[in-house]
Amino acid sequence: MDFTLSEEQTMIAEAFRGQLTRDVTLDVIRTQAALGQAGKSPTDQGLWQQLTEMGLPGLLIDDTYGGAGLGMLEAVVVGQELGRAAAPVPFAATCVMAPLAITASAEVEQHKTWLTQIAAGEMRVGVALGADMLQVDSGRISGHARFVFDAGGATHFLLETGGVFYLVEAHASGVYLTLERPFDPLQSLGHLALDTVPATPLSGVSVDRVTEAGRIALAAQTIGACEFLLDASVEYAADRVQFGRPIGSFQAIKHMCAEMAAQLYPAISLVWYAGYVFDKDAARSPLNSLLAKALADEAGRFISRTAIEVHGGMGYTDLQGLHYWYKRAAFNRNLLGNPEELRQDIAAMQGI
Amino acid sequence: MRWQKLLVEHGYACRTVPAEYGGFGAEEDILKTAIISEEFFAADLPQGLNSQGISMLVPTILEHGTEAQKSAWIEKTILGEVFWCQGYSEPDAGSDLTSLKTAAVEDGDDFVINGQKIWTSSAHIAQMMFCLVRTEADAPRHAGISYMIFPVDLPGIEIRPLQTMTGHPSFNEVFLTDVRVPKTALVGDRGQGWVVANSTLKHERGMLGAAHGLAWRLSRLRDLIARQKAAGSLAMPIEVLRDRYAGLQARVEGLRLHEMRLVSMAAENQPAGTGALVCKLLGCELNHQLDILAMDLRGPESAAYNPDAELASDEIWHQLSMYDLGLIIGGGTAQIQKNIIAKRGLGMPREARRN
Repeated sequence: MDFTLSEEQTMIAEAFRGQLTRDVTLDVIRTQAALGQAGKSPTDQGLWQQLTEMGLPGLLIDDTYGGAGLGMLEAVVVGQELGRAAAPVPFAATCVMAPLAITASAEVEQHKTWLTQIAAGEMRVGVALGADMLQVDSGRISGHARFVFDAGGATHFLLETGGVFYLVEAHASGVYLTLERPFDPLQSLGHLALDTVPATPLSGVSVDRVTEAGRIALAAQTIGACEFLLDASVEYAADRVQFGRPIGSFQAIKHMCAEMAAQLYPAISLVWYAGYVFDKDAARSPLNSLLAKALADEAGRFISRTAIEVHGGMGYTDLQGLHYWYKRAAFNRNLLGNPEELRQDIAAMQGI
Repeated sequence: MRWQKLLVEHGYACRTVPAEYGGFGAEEDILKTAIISEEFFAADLPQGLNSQGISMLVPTILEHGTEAQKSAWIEKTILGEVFWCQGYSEPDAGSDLTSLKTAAVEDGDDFVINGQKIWTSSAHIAQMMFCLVRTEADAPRHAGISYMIFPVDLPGIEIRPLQTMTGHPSFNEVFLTDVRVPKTALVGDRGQGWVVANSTLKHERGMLGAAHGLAWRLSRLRDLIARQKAAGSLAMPIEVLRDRYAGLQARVEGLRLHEMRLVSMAAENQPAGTGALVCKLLGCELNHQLDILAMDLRGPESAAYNPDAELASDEIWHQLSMYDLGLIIGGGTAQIQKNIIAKRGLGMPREARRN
C-alpha cells in the first residue's frame, strides 16, 4: 500500500489550491466574514460557482448523477485546500455528509434528482445530527435543531433524530431558520424551528458512517489551516527583523516552528489514512476517524495559537488576518465531538 | 550470534552490504527493507544486532574506506564478531560537536592521540572504536577533523564506566594518552572527518525506527490496563486514564502513518523534506510519555524500584522511562533536533554565530 498521494490526488489538490489562491484573497475573506458576523450566509457565490465547476459538491457523488465518483481521501485532499485558504464555502455538510447519506439510503433511486442537484451546486444541504428536540408524526417534523452546519444559503436540511435521517425543504412553510453568529465567521451554523414540516425519511442510513465522514471532513480542513499557518509563520519569521536580525534566526522562534511541524506531519498522515480507511476498511473507520479528528484538533489548537505568537502583535490584528484560520480550527474542534469527548470514545471502544 | 549469521545469509539483516564483504548483496529497496522489518516485528522475532558498528561504521567504511579496511572489518562487524564504540562526544563538545579537541599529531607513519571522549556507550564491550579527532590544530572547526578507527585495547587507552541515573553503567568515559595509531587508521582523507561522519546520515533510513518501539510500549500498556481493570486496581480515575491513553494512541498512530508515508516517499524517490526530521523528536518523546503513563498507572507500586527488573515485568517501566529520557538527550538533544527541523527542514535563517 502507498501512503503518499497518487498523481491524480495531487493534481486535484493543486487545481483547487491554484483556484483558491487566486480567488480567496484577504479582502474576499473580510467581506464574507462581515456577512457571517451579521448572521447572514458567508458563502461567496461566485467562488461557490467556480468550485462547483471544478466538482466540489459532486466529489463523492456517483458519475451517473453528475458527480465525480471519487472517494473520501480525495474529499480530504480538497478539504485540506479549503482549510488552507480559509475558503468561505460550505463543505462538511453539503459536500460530504449529505451526499453520503442520500447515496447510502435505500431510496437512492427515488432521490437521484437530489444528488444531481447537489452535484450541480444548486441544492445545498444543512445537516444536524442527534437533533433530539424533534418529533416526527405522520411524515411531518416539528421541534428544534441547533448547530445545523452549513445552514446559511441551504435549500434543504438533513436532520437526524432517533437514528433516522429526514430531509426537509428550507422553503417549506413552517421552517424558521435563525443563523447563529459563528466563531468562524466564514462558516455557518443555524438554529432551526420546525412546525409540522413535511419530511422525507431516508431509510437504512448509518448515523455512525455519516458522523465519521463529517469528522474526517472537519479534520481535513483543520490540517489544511495548520499548513497555511506554519508556512505563514516561517515566512514572517524570515522577513521580520528585530535586534538587527530576522526573528527566525532566534532559537525561541525556531523551536516554536519546529514544534508546529512536528505536530502537523503526523496529523496530516493520520487524516489521510482515515479518509482511505473510510472507503477501504469500514470496520476500522470508527476508530480511525476518532483518532484523526482528535489529533487534528489538538494540532489545530497548538499551531493556530503558536502561529499568532510567532507573528507577535501583527498576528493579533485583522491586517494580518491569521485569526480567520485560528477561528476555523477552533470552530471545527468543538463540532462532532471535541478531542476530550473523542478520546473517551476511543478508549471505550477498545475496552479501556 | 548464530541467529545473526542466519539473518545475514538470508538477506534479512544488512541486506545491501555487498556479498564480497559478507553481506547479502541486495539492491537498495526501501520497501523490502520495511516489509522485512514489519514482519519480524509482527512475529515478535529479534531482527538481529542493531549496533553502532552495523548502523554507522559499516556504511561509512563502504563509502569511504580502503579496500583493506572493507575486507578487514565489514564481515566481522555484521556477523557480530567485532563490536564498535563511537568516539565522537567530548566533555566540552556535546551538541557543539565540531568544537572537539582530542588531538592526533602526525609522527612518522603514525598519529599520536591525546584527549578524552565521553558518552561512549558499549566501550566496555567493544574491541574497536570509530573516532573523530582533530588532526589540524589551526584549521577552523569542521575543517580540522579526521575520522579514525583503532582497537580500544591500545596502550594509553583507559575506559572508565560512567555511573548514570539508571544505576547501570551504560556509558563510559574514554581517556586517550599518547595513543599511537598507524596512518592506515584514517577513513577517508585527512581533514575530511566531518564529511565522512555525516555521510552516514544519508544511510539512516530506519524510518520505521520509532513505530515499533512505540507499538510495543502501547501494547504493553494496554495489557497492564486490562489486568488492572480486571483486578479493580487502577490507580487513576478512568476518564483521566482514558484521556491520556487515547491521546498517546492518536499521537503514536499519527507518527506510525507518517513513517509509512516516508517509506512510500523514499520508494518513489520523493525528497522527504522536513517530514523526515521530526521522527526522532516525536518518537523519543512519545516513548517517554508511554513509560510514565505506565508508571502512573501503577500508583504506589511505582514508588518501589527494582533496578534488576526483567523486561517482561511491570517493574520495568522505571528503567524504560530513564532510558528513554536518555534518548531524548542522546544522539542530538530534542532542542538540537528542533534546530535541525527549523534550519534544514523549514529553511529558517541561521542563528548568530560566535567567531
